[in-house]
Amino acid sequence: MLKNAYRFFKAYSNLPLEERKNPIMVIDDDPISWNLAYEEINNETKNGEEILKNLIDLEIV
Amino acid sequence: MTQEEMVRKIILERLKAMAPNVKIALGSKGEFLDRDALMKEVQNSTQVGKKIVEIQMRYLRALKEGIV
Amino acid sequence: MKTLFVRPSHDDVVSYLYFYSKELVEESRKRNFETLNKEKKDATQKIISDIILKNEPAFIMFNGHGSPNIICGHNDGFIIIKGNNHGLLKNKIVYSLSCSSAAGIGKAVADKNTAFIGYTDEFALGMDVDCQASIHRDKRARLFLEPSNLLVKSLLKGNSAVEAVEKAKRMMKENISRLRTEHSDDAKDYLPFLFNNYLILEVLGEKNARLQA
Repeated sequence: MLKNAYRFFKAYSNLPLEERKNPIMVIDDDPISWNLAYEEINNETKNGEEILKNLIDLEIV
Repeated sequence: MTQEEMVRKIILERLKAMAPNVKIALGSKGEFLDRDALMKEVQNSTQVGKKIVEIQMRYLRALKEGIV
Repeated sequence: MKTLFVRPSHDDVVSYLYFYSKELVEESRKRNFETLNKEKKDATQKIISDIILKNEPAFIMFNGHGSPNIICGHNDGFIIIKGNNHGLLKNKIVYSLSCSSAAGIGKAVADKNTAFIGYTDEFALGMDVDCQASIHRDKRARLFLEPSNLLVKSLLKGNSAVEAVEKAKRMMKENISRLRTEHSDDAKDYLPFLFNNYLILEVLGEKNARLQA
């Protein structure tokens, strides 16, 4: 698991179901929803690393 | 990209995803603002725009605490 | 015991407050308060100041725009200005449904004989554009304004200022919970703004102040 990914999963599990479809990050001008972020972080992709780092820096997770 | 610019981009994307029937009145403007008007306020960094960003970020940060 | 309701109606936003506060005027009368209702063009500084000085209402509700140091009335004319006439609000329970007035005016008037209930930042109001022509059918606006009405009804019933605020906040939390679990396209969009209102509602001064008819 990516380092500190647990912070994302914990926040994600508390989200209203409709909120999970909402954008939560922008990478290279592309919006990333909570659901997409979950996949990227869960699959430990490079994007996932960047998304997680940004979410932590912004104190969203 | 600065953190401030990233936050603004995120909030703009969230506003873009708002349902078309939603309008919000905020502050002393006597009118309800639809999705496009809210986005314009954020894009132009007006007082209302900054407040929208603040409200959205406070909400997002509260989500992780389970407060909301 | 007298109550005073200040109810401008000059723009789209205050029209919603005007509509919702009608119920509160009726409730006040039903509970045998001598109820003073100054609405539309009567919601001016001169008229309101005179009414307060002459009648000394125990409870005043302001509906309208505002800022930390100003409460507005008809056509956004200034009614209460901090440092000018905020003393008019002393020795009363005041509820100001206007942006940010708790942060300035509220702090200035609050003391052991005065309760000021209001918002410390911008109050947000959501609405459903599909109901624009009929406020009473707007279920989204109701989520924002019903807690405010409950607050006033609680005061009129004899609950203390802090109890009334707690009831309003409890209803806001219930509305937030309802929106969280609703599977409609728009529910999630109102949440940040309703949460904002929940956070910024405060009671200052004599928190145990209450009305008796």
